[in-house]
Order: sequence, then structure tokens, then C-alpha cells
Amino acid sequence: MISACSLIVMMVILFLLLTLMPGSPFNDAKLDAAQKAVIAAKYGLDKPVLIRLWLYMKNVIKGDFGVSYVLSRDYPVSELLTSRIGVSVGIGFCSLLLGTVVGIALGLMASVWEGRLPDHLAMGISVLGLAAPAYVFAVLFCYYLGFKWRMFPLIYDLRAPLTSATLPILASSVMIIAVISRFTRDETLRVMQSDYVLFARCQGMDKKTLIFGYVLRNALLPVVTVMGSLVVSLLTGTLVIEDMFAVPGIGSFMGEAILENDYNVVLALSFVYAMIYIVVMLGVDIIYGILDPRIRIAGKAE
Amino acid sequence: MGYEPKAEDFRFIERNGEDNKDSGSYGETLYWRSVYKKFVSKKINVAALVTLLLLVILAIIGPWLSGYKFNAQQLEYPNLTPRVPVIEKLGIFDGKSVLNKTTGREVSNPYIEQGIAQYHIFGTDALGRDVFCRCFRGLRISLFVAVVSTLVNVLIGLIYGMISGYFGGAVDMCMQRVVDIWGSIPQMVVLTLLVLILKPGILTLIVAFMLTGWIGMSQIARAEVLRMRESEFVLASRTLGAGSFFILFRNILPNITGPVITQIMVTIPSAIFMESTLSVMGLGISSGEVSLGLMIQGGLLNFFLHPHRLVPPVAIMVLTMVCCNRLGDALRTAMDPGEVI
Repeated sequence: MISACSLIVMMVILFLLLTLMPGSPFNDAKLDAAQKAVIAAKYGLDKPVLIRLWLYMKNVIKGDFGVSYVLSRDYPVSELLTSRIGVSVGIGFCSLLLGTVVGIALGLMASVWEGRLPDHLAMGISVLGLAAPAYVFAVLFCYYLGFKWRMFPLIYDLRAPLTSATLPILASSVMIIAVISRFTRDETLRVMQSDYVLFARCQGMDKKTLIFGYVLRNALLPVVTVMGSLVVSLLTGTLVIEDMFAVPGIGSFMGEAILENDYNVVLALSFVYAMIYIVVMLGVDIIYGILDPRIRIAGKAE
Repeated sequence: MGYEPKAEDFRFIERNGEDNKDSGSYGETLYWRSVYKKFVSKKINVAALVTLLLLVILAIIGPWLSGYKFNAQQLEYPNLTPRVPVIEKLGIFDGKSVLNKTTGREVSNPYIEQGIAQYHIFGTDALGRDVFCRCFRGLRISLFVAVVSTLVNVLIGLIYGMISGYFGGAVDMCMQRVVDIWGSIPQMVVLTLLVLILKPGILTLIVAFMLTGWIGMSQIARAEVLRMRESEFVLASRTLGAGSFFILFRNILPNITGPVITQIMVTIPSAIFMESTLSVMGLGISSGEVSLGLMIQGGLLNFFLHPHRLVPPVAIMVLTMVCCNRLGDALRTAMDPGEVI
């Protein structure tokens, strides 16, 4: 309910912001005032702002985001997007998966060998991953994996998505690895100090069963909660990363659309971003409920 | 017949008198002393603090130290590699540049060949501008944007969150719905649009960060106030006739300094990050001024040809980020009253 509300409010705010924006999609110096008026009338830009807002919102509910003004003229935005969302979501999901798995492994490693070499190594990676922006890693991977050793193509290729998506996925997963490994380590260490772990160890339970059967599940709870903010940073990162690797996804598209004043594309993409964000937040809540039985029971009791 | 108290039985306690020795601000100093002890107990925290201070000092005097102007172009000396006065005798940083061509490696030293007597510790960029000077000028601008926007953010978030948490009920309900809605709009979208609508520049960046960054602080402030609202000292204060705003700002606020300072230390690096991302996208500081993000963008464009141009700004940024993150963590643990040393 709140999500739907915030989506609508967001669209209204963005629509107003965009109409207030200086410049228009049609700022070709060759057009005179009369020609501009014709174009404005064709796209309905001559009507008052509020009426346009009303018409736009009515169309959005039907799934029609209008047509693109600049990037590919008169082509419906929704069709432009559907072909691109898949690519971006695929890369985003892969880097999230890779980052989470590697991050949890690193974090566990660090907490098991606390204060020794694996710990320092993992935390070193984590500190670096948090300190440098994703595009720096992107350039490094480009230079070594792509340029010097020629292992992966430098530019995304739709015909070979598996090999050519490797570099963008690697580059954007570094930050996730950093955050997740850090959280996993701290939480595992915290859980290890609790009474029930002490009890289990007193009973002679071996370390493997203890960690994988008892500690990990409790340690992962807070890790799930950072997932939401991670996805947001991932979205931010893709704006630059997709541009660098020429990935035909929504991140690079957003950049182009903003620079070209393509209102409808920007609006639709913001809508998509907000949707992704809200869905992820909802997903985090659900996963949290699955991992923590206390929340489920409390929910049922009410 | 009981004892009748007389005026002589009572006397005022002097503020700094003997009678007052054990009360007053004793507890407070104890807390800050323990914070200090916990902070200093790890050498790495002190190292991070010192490094950060050094970076800030360099950001202030670095451009002046270099002896060059940050936007003075020397078109005859483009893309020079680093050359450092004393170390050059060791054979490194002597201005040698290696060019990988299809016909093989080509080593040359433009400093010697063109007879350049100048030293450029970090080299020069495509227009012959000194990278050392530009880097620290950039750090200055980046830090300025980050610090100012963070302070404003924290102020807004603090007041918003405290009011929302303290008054509760319908006020809280309304204020939290606003936060929910504003928070569900991706920050990056708002940032890019704001930067587009306003003219790109330092002030725009600050305003943009200001509008998007206060939510985190407001949530923390609200949670802290909710925790303290029912405590005895607030009740005592209210019994003595204190008004709501007096309680909020004179009684509760001093007690949440810890989380506030931690939040400041966490927000500054994220603002530096955001600034650089916007600059790399071409939406940050306009040309004529320089920021770390802008320097990195310039380095990215020429990375394969002149890798030495990317290293200094990235190194400075990473160093700043590492120090800020470390300090944030250190303060969080040091100011947590639950952890006793």
C-alpha cells in the first residue's frame, strides 16, 4: 500500500521536476518557433502541466510510458525498456549472487581463523572494496583480464553474453563482497560468543556442525538486512559500469536519456528503479521471516 | 514539638567550592575518558586519524606547496610521467615513460629529451597541468562538498528524527510516511535530476546531497529518542517543569552525541563516493574547478595510454575512504556505552 503510494508520489515529483528542467528535448537550433509549436502540439506538450500530468498518470497505469522523444524517436518507451531490463537484471543478479557467495565464504574464513592470515587477507579485501569505487575495479579488470591477458572481451556482446558479461559482473561484485564478508565476519564472531554456542561446544559438538548448522543461520540474519542497501548501491554502480563496458542495459540508457532530456525515458526508468528497490525491500522482509522463526510466529499471533 | 529549621541551617553550594567536588560533570568526563581510551587502544585508529589529518592539511596547503597553479596550462609539456627530486637518482620516478606499441616497447624520457628542468611529483595531465596540485585541489573541493553537505544533512535529520520520535502519535505517523515515500525513491535518480535542473557546480552538489541524505540520520535520531523518551531523567526534567524543546535539545541531545558523530563519519565517505560517481558520469563539478571525481574521470579516459594519471587521484581517494571508514568504525565501538574496556 505504502509502496504503491510512494511510487505515485515519486512519479508526480519527477514529472514536475522534469518539466521544470531547463531545455527541452527539441532544442535543435534549426527549428523556429512555429515548428517547435507544431512538435509540441504533436506530443501534447502544449497543454498545461497539470493536464499533462493527469494524462500521463492515466497512461502509466495502463502500462504505457509514452514515446521516446530523442533517443529513438516515436518508439514506445515500454518496448525500449523491456529489451534492456533483462540484460541489466541478469548482470545485477549474477553479481549479487557471486558477491554474496564469495562474501559469506570470505567472512566465514576470516571468523574461523580470527586474527590470523586468512582474517587479515579477507579484511584487507573488504577494506579496499569499500574504499574504491566500482569503476576503478572495472578499469583494473579491463586492463589486466581484458587487455593484457586477453581472457575476456572488453565490450559486452549480445551474442556471447556469458563471456562478455564476466568483467562487468566481477567489477560490480567487488563492493558486495566487501560489505558481505565484513558483516558475516562480525556477526559470526558475535554469535560465537553466545551462550548456546558455548553449551554446544561443552557437549563436544565438532566445529563444522556447529558453524554450518547453528552459527551461520543466526549470523546471516543481519547480512540479509544489508542486502537492500546493497542493491541500491549496485544500481548506482551500474550507471557507470554499463557505460564503460557498453552494456545495452538500463543503467547506460539512463545516462543517455538524462543527458538528452528524454523525459519519458527518464521517468519510465526512474519508475523501474523504484520498482526494483521496492521489490527488493519486500524480498528482504520475506527472507528475513523465513530465516528468523520468531518473526513468523509473532506475525501469526497477531 | 519538633525542630524548627532556621535560615542559618541552609546555605548555597558554591559552584566550584569544596562541597561540589564529587558531583557536577564527573560522570560525563568518565564517559569521554573511556571513549578516548577505547579509541587509542588500537594503534590503527590513531594511524587513521593522523593520516586523515595529514590529508586534510595537504588538501589545504598542497596546491600551494606544489608551486604550480591548479589550472595553469603548459601545453608544451603534456602527459609527463612522475619525476621526484631525490628518488629519481634511484632509477624510479625519473620521468621515464614507456609506450607499448605494436612494434614493441619504446622507452623515452621527455624531461631529458626536451630539457625540462621542472619536477612534477605526480606528472602532468593532457594540458600540462601539474597533477599533484590538481589532486589536492580536488581533494579540497571533494572534502568541502562532503563535509558541508554532511553537516547540513545531520542537522536536518537530527531535528526531523528527534521531533518525530519525541512527539510520537499522529505526528510520528505522518513524518514517517514522508520518510518512507522519500526513501523509496532511489537516491541516485534524485541526485542526477537535481544536478541537471540546477546548474552543475559545488553548491548544486551540496544541495543535492542535502535533499537526499538526511533520512539515515533521522531514522537513527528517532530510534534514540524513542529509547530515551521514557527514561527517568526525562521524567525528572519534565516534573521540574521543562518544556518539550528544552528536554529534546538540552537533555536528550547531549546523550545521543555518540551516534551523531558516528553518522557524520559514515556519511562523509559516502558523499565523497557519490561526488566522484556523478563526476565520472559527467554530472559533477563543472570544468574550471576540479574534484577528485573529475581527476579520476580524466584518468579513466586515458588509462590505457597514460596509466600514471589514474593512480594519484585514486590513491588519494582510497586513502581518504579507508581512513574515514576506519574512524567511523572506531568511533562506533568507542562510543558504544555497552562495551566496557
